[in-house]
Amino acid sequence: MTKLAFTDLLAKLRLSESGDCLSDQRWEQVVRLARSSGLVARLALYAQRFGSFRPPESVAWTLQSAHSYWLAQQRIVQWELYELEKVCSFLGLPLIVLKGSAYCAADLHAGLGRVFNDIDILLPKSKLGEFKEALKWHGWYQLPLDRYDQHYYEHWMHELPPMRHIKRGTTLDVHHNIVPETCSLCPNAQLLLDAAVNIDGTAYWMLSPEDRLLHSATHLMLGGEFDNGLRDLTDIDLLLRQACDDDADFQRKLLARAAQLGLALPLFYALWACKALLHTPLSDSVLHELQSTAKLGRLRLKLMTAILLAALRPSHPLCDGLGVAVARWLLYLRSHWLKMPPQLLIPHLLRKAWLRLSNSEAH
Amino acid sequence: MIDDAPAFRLFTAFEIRCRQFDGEWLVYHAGTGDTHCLQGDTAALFADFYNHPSAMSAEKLYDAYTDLAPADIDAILASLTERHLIKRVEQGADAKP
Amino acid sequence: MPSHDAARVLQIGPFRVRIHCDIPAVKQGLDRLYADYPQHPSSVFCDFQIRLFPPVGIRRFIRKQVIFAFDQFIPFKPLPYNQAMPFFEWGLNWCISGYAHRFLIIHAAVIEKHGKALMMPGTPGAGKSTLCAALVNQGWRLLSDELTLIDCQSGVIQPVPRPVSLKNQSIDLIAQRYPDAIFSPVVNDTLKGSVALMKPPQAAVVRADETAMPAVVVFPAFQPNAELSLAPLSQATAFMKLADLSFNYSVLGSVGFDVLANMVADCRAYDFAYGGDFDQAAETFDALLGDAAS
Repeated sequence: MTKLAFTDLLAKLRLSESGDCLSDQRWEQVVRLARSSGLVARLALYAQRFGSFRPPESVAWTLQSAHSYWLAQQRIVQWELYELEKVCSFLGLPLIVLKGSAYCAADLHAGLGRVFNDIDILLPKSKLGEFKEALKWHGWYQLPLDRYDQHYYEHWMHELPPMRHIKRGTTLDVHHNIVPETCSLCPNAQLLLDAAVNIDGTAYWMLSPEDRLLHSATHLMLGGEFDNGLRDLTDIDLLLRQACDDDADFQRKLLARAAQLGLALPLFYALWACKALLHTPLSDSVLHELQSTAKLGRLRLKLMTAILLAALRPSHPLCDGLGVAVARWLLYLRSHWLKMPPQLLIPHLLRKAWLRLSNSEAH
Repeated sequence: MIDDAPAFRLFTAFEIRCRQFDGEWLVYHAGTGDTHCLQGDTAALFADFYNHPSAMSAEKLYDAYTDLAPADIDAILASLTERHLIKRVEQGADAKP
Repeated sequence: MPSHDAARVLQIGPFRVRIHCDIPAVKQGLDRLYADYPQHPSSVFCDFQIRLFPPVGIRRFIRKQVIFAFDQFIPFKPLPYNQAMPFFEWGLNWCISGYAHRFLIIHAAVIEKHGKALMMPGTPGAGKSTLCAALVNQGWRLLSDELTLIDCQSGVIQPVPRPVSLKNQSIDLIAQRYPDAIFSPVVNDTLKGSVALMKPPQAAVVRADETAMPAVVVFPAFQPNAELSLAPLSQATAFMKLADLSFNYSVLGSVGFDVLANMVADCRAYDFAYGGDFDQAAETFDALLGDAAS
């Protein structure tokens, strides 16, 4: 029964298949899993835009409600970008938008039903100080951090500490790269900036189609948190499908870019999981080529893909909670292992574990 | 009530929705998400601006309340609101159960 | 995790609610106050999965508490164990106002006569629930004592009749005046003071799928011993007050603007001060709805 719920959800998320006609009871479980994975609005948009399935009326209300909520978020993002662009143009910088905010601004398929909490933008590292100063004049302030976290952001991270708008309450993440600089996989940010493309009909910019996909894949594999893993995977699926529709040569370009930026490994895992779970149309040769570029051995492949599949299951009693938690914890450790050299990593993890323990005691 | 809304994209990239009740105007701004209620003289100036949207009527509306040059309807409404000439319900100000 | 079959599934207005709860106060509360609500087999699609349960650990024994969960999500801090039944009501309000955006939802009591709805939006303390309870006992149909649901597509009001939540002095006042009314036990020392829930009349529950046309909005203001007064409000003013009291106006954006503007266009609105004379209030409201017919 519980396995069935996840299978049913996946079937609804596969754009190339129509899936079974579900009973009310199975629909309810699909909605519950989707809710715990931040995917209800996405299901609503899949039904509405792609007509990939037809929900019964009782389910349609739930989906419509999530759809309305998503539209509200679209409006908020559009307004924030409009305001941020004023700051950027004052400084003579292009506003480069990342992730969910970019999908929204460019009206990409990956934005359909995509819900998120912060606006993400990318700036050249050399401009961060100036930009942060300008943000203050426009009502943005940095959320308070203790000294350790401040140091952590300043020296190891690829983004500024989160900023909040004093009146509107929105959160802004200002990035200077897509991966922490302490990470062995950290790409040259200048390459990303140079390839950025203008969003049609706006003054905003976003990463190139290849870099958008690589960013989403590295975020999934190195972000360390899998709470939104399945949602991120559907982003990758949508990004890939749309890019391939727009450009028949896209998969080849993506491989070349992954090799150039040194991100073949996270891309391999992300695409592998996409194909396995969402049946993303991808040729085996693409995966083979990535696997050999990333020099990924057989044993490691087997182990990692098993952990990855477990971690991408929604964290919900309908879906076997314990295995999910263990797999997510292993991937959390792995992401930190890749992101930080050991002399930084071990004290960092000990500190986090200590904080978590003392926090849970305080409750 | 006026049914065919004129092209407000002249002034802003964001949709503006208006309804008039007995000379009072309700204005919804889809960018900020704010709703404004315009009464009295402000409403009359706004009505002129709404019915004959032009840079001139915007300027007139704006000039009545500020000495800055007209930028767009956002600025106009923001300025009117700051001077408490119109009331508004703010985006995100939903009641909590 | 309780098994699937332990739950009961209730039709509450347009919503199907799956309730898992082993707490006696809640079970008795549901038996007593929700006796007239249609029950469904567990195989139907439910909008909300609600669980109320005591936390594990030491809090099981000392200063016992209760947790409210919407599926796996726990939106509130635990409350004292004896508040479990009002907690269910508050939690369900939270679920509806956060997840039912096919409606514009306004913090208002709403009652009906002759197919026409009279809304009483109100900040806490304005006396809307007390007035609502009184009028419901005088033959008006209860649509909701807390959440007015305006259907975004049709503009009609969708009933979601629930037990009427009465606070402090209002409990005795209503119980004495209407001895046939059925109440939950009084729960003391909640954030809102003492609370009791009044069972909705059976007719209101049975007719929960009969919608009503919005006709009159009164903003009640209870002042002890005040003279009754009724002051007309402009439609634009009423709009702003209603938007302010909405739970999801800003979520709905331009849709919410249109729905609310269409509604106030068809309604008359008043500021209503009264000193607690229910008969006089009922008479006044009857007259208002009579006028609204023309």
